[in-house]
Amino acid sequence: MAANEQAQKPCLSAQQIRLFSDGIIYDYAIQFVERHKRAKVSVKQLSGLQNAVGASNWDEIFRYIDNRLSRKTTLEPVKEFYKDLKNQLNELRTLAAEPGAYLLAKEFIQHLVAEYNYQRSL
Amino acid sequence: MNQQMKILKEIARIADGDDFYNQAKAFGKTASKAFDSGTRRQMKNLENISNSSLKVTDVLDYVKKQVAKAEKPKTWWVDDFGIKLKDFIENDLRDFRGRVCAILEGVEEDSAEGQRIYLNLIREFVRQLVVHYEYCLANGGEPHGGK
Repeated sequence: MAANEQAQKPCLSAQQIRLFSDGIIYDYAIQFVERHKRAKVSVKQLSGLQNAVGASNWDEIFRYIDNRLSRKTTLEPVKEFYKDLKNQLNELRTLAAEPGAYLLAKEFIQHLVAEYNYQRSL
Repeated sequence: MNQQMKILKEIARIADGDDFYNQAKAFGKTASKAFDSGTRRQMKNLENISNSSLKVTDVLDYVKKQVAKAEKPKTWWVDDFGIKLKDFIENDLRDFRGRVCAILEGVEEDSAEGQRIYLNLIREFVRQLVVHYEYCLANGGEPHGGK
């Protein structure tokens, strides 16, 4: 990403990240799960996703997603889940300068995993 | 009176109201059926999470996680305790936050101040819920009378 592109994005304070997380990030996660709740993404895969985002590195998380997408055994609805996730994460990247954007992605995945497992249990 | 004092006073007034108190009491009673002395740690953890969280969604995610992990029809599933608690925090306590913000001048619901009000309401509600829970547990499941 070009340095001037990065500079144009707002730098978020910890307070702003908390507000985003309780606001649009939470809403995005709920809407995301609503779109993909029938995909049957396993608990193990969601844990893997959380571990990948815990590495604090965009490359790590995109590598995890690409790995899931490239597997021949991955079912089509699950592939759609990962494709959409990639788009959503790229959108979050445009919201703020680093490291704020990555922190928003972490919040998004935390909400997504909680909501996905919750919906599965109902 | 400065704004911070007004906020605390308003939260205390709402938390002392019958709506708030009766709901906390009802949830406390259900919790005493759901969590016996062997699983009371779960209520303590809920209280700890609500006291230490800086985001409302941390509390919601915690409740969802516990519901998803719990074995049906035990603990968080007794009388849909977890689902109802999550909905109460998400909807009713948000409305209570709206009431506090409406009374105070210049406090937007989705501002940092609004978020703090919401968190304080959650903390107060969970605190009351756990008090009722402990009381019911000590008295064989029977809630005490009115205030």
